[in-house]
Amino acid sequence: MENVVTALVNIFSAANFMYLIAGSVIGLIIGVLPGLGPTFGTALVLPFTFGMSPDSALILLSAVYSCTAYGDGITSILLNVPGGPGGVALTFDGYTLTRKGKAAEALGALVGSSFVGGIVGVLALMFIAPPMAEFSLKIGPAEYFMLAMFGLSMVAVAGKGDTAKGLILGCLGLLFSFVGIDVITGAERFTFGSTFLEDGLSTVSATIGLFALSQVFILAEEGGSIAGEFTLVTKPWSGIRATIKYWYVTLRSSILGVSIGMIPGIGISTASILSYIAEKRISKNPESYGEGNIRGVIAPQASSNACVSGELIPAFALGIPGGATAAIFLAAMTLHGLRPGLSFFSTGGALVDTIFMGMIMAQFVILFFGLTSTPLLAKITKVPNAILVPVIMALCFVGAFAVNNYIEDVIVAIVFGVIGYVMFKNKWPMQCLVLGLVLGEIAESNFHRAMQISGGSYGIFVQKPISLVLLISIVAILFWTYFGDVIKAKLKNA
Amino acid sequence: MNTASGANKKKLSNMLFTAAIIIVFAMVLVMSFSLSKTAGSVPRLISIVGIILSVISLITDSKKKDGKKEGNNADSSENQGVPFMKTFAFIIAYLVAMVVLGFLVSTILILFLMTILMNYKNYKVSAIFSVIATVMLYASFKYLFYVRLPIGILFELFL
Repeated sequence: MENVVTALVNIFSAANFMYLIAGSVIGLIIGVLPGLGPTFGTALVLPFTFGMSPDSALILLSAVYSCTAYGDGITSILLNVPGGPGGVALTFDGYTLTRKGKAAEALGALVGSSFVGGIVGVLALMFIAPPMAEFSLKIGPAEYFMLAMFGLSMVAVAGKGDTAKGLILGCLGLLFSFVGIDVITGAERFTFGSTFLEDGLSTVSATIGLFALSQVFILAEEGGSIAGEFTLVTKPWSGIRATIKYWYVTLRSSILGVSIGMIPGIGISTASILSYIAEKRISKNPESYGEGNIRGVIAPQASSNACVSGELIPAFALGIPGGATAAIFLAAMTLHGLRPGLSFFSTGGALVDTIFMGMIMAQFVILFFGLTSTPLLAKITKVPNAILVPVIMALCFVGAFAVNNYIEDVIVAIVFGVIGYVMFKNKWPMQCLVLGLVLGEIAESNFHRAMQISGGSYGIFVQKPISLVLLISIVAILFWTYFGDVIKAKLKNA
Repeated sequence: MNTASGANKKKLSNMLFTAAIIIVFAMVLVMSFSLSKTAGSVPRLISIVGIILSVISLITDSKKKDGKKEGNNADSSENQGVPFMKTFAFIIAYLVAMVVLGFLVSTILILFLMTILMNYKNYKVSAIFSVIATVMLYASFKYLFYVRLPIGILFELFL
């Protein structure tokens, strides 16, 4: 209880409250810019946190993360242009409602369902992550290795329709993570004699390049402005009643979102689309979906905002990120000397509660801003790319430089920016590369530790029950991803 | 016709990217043999798996029928903005300028030139925007977040 009081005092300190508001505004601005989602937002803001205290840093990132997920929905509804990966399902009914002159109702439902989804997600994080972290005490290097491999196997699922490409990028990310001094042997690997590379490739610079700098190329290429010639219609003060009326839709979609978020590699786009499909299947009038059913807005948005916190559960508890954005959170925690796992919850004290309270407060800020400033936010999409692009470029440069005050980090960001651009153009699943990059060190160091414990026997990975269950799950996931469609087709024909 | 050629271009670019990844995997594989058994075993395994997957992907892509599937959004060259190579050249110029001239001068210059490059015709607005945006970035990073920004080789010589 003492910690909660301290947390509340911390939250309402001038600095933290300012970061909460600033993070929310930045998140909303990034959210409404189509194509720029939560990963872009958190990657861009991460360098700003270097000089902050850990609680301020995580509050700022949480606010950006949550508000971007909400902002993504605004352009989906108003312009039929998904603001980010979580906004695709919102275009189905959200934009139809706009075309029917019911944009206000849709925007109100967006705010309401975001708020409820966000609160459910943070509560799940508060109550699931600590026991999960305690469970982490029971797992050794073999299980940790398998957990990392489980996370990596999910890149096959994240590859969505292109499993091989997802796995290739997962492997490539792993190789990038091996650059530098090997933690086990102390040997230099793939450094080409460069002292800069001895410390390894910075995850922060790499993610800034992949998700933010790549957008510089894309937006510059598109020219014009993001909204083009669309007319904006915004009156956000309605639709909340619909969220309350369909409280069961909001709640079950939120729970689905948290559950999906906890599985590494899946992310908010799947969460929102699955919730939409689930609601459509359950509904007595499935044909009304796509024709402007308000539940088609509530379900995907509640799910995607709940998924945001769901992704953080395995990251906080086990150090295994649920997605690319959670990987950036992990990088932020490491930068600020925080170690995920049981020690984070047992010794973190008021800091942990401050972070959770900050995340809850971010939901209230969404509610406030959502109901008051949506028309203004929507106008951002009219800002010419000629103004946006140079600002994003400068932010990326400063962000990458701020990692270690090395210009080489900017070069790393540029290289990854080009890779990100090529992957975007060829529709390769970028998030798989980041998962590989983050999980590489965890996987390799625990593999070697497990082999040292077992005296060089691979049997250790099948002798321990948790490890064996994870191994079977990995094989099942890979098998189903590769052959699932063939099996389904054969069953259908039979 | 345009759609088909756009799809071909995309297919080719996809295959070239896969080929580039194979080269990276192959390089890592070769380099891993010069490492000790412990340090080199995992990179070796990953690069072999990567090569196998990339070759499978390359074969699958080469068998895809031209103009099919990719045809829907085949051509991004219809965009009226700045081509990739120009933006890339600008980014490199910004990097060099930042090293030589430091953050403040290089950012003001690059922001102004980039807006002009992107066909923003109002030079006055562009100039004012460049100065204000740069000063805001500089002030927020330096005084709010305590991040050191590059001074530039030229200014280091005089300071």
